[in-house]
Amino acid sequence: MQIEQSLVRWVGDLYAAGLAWWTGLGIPEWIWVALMAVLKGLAVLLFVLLNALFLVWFERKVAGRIQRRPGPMHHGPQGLLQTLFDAVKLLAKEDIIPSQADKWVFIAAPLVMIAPAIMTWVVMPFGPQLIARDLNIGLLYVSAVSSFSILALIMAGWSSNNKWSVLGAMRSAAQMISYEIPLGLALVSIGMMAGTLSLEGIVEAQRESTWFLFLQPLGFLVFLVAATAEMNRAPFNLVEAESELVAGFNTEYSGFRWAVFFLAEYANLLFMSGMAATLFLGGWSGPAFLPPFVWWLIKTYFFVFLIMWVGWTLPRIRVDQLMELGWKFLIPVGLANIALTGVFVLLT
Amino acid sequence: MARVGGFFDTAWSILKGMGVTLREMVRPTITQYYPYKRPELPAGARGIPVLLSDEEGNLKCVACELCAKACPVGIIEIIYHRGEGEKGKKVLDGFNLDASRCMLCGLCAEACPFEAIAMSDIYELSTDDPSTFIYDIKRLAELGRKQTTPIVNYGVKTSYAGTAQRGKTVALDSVVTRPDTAQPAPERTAVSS
Repeated sequence: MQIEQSLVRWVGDLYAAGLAWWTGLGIPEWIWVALMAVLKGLAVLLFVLLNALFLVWFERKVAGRIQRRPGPMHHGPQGLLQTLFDAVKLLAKEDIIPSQADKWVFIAAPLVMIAPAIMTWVVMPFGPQLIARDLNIGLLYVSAVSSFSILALIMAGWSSNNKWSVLGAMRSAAQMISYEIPLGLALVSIGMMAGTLSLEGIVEAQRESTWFLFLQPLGFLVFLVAATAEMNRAPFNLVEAESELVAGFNTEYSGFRWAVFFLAEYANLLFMSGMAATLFLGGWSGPAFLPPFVWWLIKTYFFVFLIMWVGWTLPRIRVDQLMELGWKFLIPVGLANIALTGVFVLLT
Repeated sequence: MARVGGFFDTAWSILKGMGVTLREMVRPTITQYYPYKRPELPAGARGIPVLLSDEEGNLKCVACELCAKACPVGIIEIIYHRGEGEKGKKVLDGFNLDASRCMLCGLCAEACPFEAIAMSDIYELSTDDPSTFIYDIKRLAELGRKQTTPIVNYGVKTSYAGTAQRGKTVALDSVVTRPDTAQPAPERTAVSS
């Protein structure tokens, strides 16, 4: 805590000194502020992408170990550099755009996929003052921005001029739309519990009372299932069911365009785990023997591991079972949770 | 509200499944890290056939051609000439075996009454030069001399000129030098007597 606070103060002093120097040069202040904002954004972007690379390795190791095999072992100790080598390989691949494809939509789809995956990180609290921007409509922002990826999937599926892609995209769009609602319901009950939509405020509320995991067990369950379905992860991964749809909407994408989709998926995974950690486990709060950022990392990676563990345990569910689960189970449970939370909040 | 009653059963079965995978995660992997560690071959494992020599280093093969007749793929070619006299003894001149077609069935070794041909433990036969697939007599004899593991043909221990201890298999390149004899032309594929 001490180290982080002094680091934050040092950065603040540097910022003020830089601003003074900047205005001393006669350049208007807002350019400096904008530059600093861009730098902050770059820092978050770098963090997210590095973590996404690490997560790819982590998933391959966890999947391997569950299957009694070691996972990547060759490049780097325990295969840590494998993802880097894969990324370089993908960069070197030929960029194929199908001749009948809708060219500009095809090119735009990966961008539309990765933009919300990174935009959502604006509101993630990493520490006491370590947040890119603490919007006071944080939860609403998260819910709204993460819905953009559905558009990306439809763009990708449609523009590929390929029946498997269209089928995969339609299935995926149906799945993601159906699970946006329970996700939103879980977020609403959290907002009611904390009295605010700002994520920093939610962490503060948990520091005052207790982790929302104990106060919102139903909400936790709904959030976890809905988040797993939102990310198209097993057991809800019939979008990318390699044995059924080739690669779903991904089929015509090769080389780096595919890598962008892949990285966006892992950035989303990390974000949803971070959300689960922030909303239910108290985010960066924890005993002072570890800095808050490390607590955030531990909790987030616990959820990452949990989601991967569940994913590699369960078989894939059918599309009708998936729809039934979303509409007939999670939404009623989410609504019941909101009702119960309302009663609880009224009484206390 | 579908399946609310079955919720707890489902949740419990999911948790049980997660317990299974957790247990599997902490168990050691069963991967064999080939080619860094080569596997222990079981007794009777069949590799490429080789020609065995007696204690003086002479090949035991007397060119009876039983192995060539027993071979289902017909890849053994035996070249011999008869010695002087009416019933001169056969003298082995050449023994060619097409390793690209050999299916390692072991019928040649089973047929041989002199224990002159046996299945070795060399299974790494890949090469980037297909003209070297036809193993001639020099190579087969050399491989037979370098055989370091006991050869067990269908439960019958065969004598061999070499050390007696059981060991790991060795890569072909470390026991075979590139042959300097003129190999048969690449157009020759199946050879038969």
